[in-house]
Amino acid sequence: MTRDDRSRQDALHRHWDALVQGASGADAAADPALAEAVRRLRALDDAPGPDAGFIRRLRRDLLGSRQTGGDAHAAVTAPPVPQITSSPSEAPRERVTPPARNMGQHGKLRRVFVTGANSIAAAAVLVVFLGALVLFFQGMAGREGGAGAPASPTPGLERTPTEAVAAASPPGCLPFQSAGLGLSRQQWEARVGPPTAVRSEGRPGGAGSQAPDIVSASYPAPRGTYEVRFADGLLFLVRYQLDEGVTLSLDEAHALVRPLLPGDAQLLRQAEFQDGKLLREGYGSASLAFELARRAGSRIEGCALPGGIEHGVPINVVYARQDGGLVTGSISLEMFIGG
Amino acid sequence: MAAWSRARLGAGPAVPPAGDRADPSDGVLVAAAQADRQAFAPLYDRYVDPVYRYCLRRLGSREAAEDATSQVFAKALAALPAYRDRSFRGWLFTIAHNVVSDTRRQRRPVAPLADAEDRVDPAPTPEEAALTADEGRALRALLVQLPADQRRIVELRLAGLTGVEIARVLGRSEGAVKMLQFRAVARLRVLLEVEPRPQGGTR
Repeated sequence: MTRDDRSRQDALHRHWDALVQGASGADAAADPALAEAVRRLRALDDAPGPDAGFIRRLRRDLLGSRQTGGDAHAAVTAPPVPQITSSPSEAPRERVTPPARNMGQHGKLRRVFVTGANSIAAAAVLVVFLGALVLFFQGMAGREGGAGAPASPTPGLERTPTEAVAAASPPGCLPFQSAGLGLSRQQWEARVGPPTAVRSEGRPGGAGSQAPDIVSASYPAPRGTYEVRFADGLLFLVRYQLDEGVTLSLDEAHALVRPLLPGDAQLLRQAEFQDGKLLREGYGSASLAFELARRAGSRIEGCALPGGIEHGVPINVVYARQDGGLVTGSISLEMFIGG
Repeated sequence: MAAWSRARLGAGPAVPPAGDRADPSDGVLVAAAQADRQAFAPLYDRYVDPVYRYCLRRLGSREAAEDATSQVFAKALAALPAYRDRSFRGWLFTIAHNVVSDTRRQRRPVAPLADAEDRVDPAPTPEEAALTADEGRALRALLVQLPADQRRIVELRLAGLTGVEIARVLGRSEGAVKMLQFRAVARLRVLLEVEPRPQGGTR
């Protein structure tokens, strides 16, 4: 690139900067033909503004109530699910009364992509997440003596053995808080008590493989049993086995599920399968992605995930339902760890 | 893969480049909104129109633009307590850019195998919507002739962003934005049939 090219680029840049900042005339140094092209382009921009009804409605949805919480994304996409423990000051974890787009208000669930779903990004998330997990597992192995190390407490999470465990996050960012997925085994058992059964499944691929060590365990749960799996001590799957005869409305099921998800998990999509007998909800948790990266020893700056994975770690929740839509049998929650 | 992950997370989001223009008016409003979310209203009023127009330009239908705009402001409001940037507008349009990109990706007929079974969204693609929309057709017809990276820059320029803000939104250097912008305008000049003119007369 010649110096002249660079000079023309700079001049055009300054010219357009001046225009967007309210200047009316052309930058004197700008190529007149290019300045004219910019002028014509702007004149062609006749995109209409939003209609007044939409502006009012959205404003009301966002700000219409003093009770409106910080997790306003839920206002657009998520059904009314109860919130796990939170302090009043943690605005991002508050839930809001869903506005018009709330599926719960429609009274019935349908196969639908919720606005904001990011199915393609799941592949990118997998790449990042697997990388973070590998680092995490390597780091854990390094600290704890490698293969065969017992399920162990996770550094950084032991400070608050409360029901919803919180961990430090980058300054100013959403903290990781969970009472289920993402906990260490020790944290989980501090919450639900000792297991009724434990089974070691070893490492997929054999003892020498890099794969995480998998442990399955069962725990008593309200109206059922938790059947969970740990990967190197990290809780990544919960199967909530309901007692026989227990049926739940979806709202009641959400009330059981929500505490098991990271506090910032956002509902991204819902879909029914097998004639409605299975309902799958896809969530994303950014705080979980950062937490895993933090555990892996990655240096984290800022609060935004790399482009394309802004929904964070994908989490699937699957509800088994009767014909009438009531949840019965089991509810499974699994965070996406690939493979 | 792991190295990539570490590098990206380690690098964090684009830090507002040196020289990023602080907007004191926005700054005051943001500080107020961080203290009281009801005070977000003036920011909403200020930016709902440009954000909506940006979404409409990129998505091609009013319904999609409304959905996207709703998401942008909901996410912005949710993330506001953590907002530390110097350019609220750049930050807000970063959210808008990501929301629109997600929406467009969601509409593509390609998905991970795990999600293949629920790819039933019957909504038209942005391209289809653009073909049938009346408003802004001439502009879109022009922009569609630009490579995607150049088009993104022009769309953000039309949304009123400065070059520095665009660089931040797109995660590019300002130099890269300048170059792509220059190429885009040079191409648009041809498409708009603007005759080359001798330079210097206006100096």
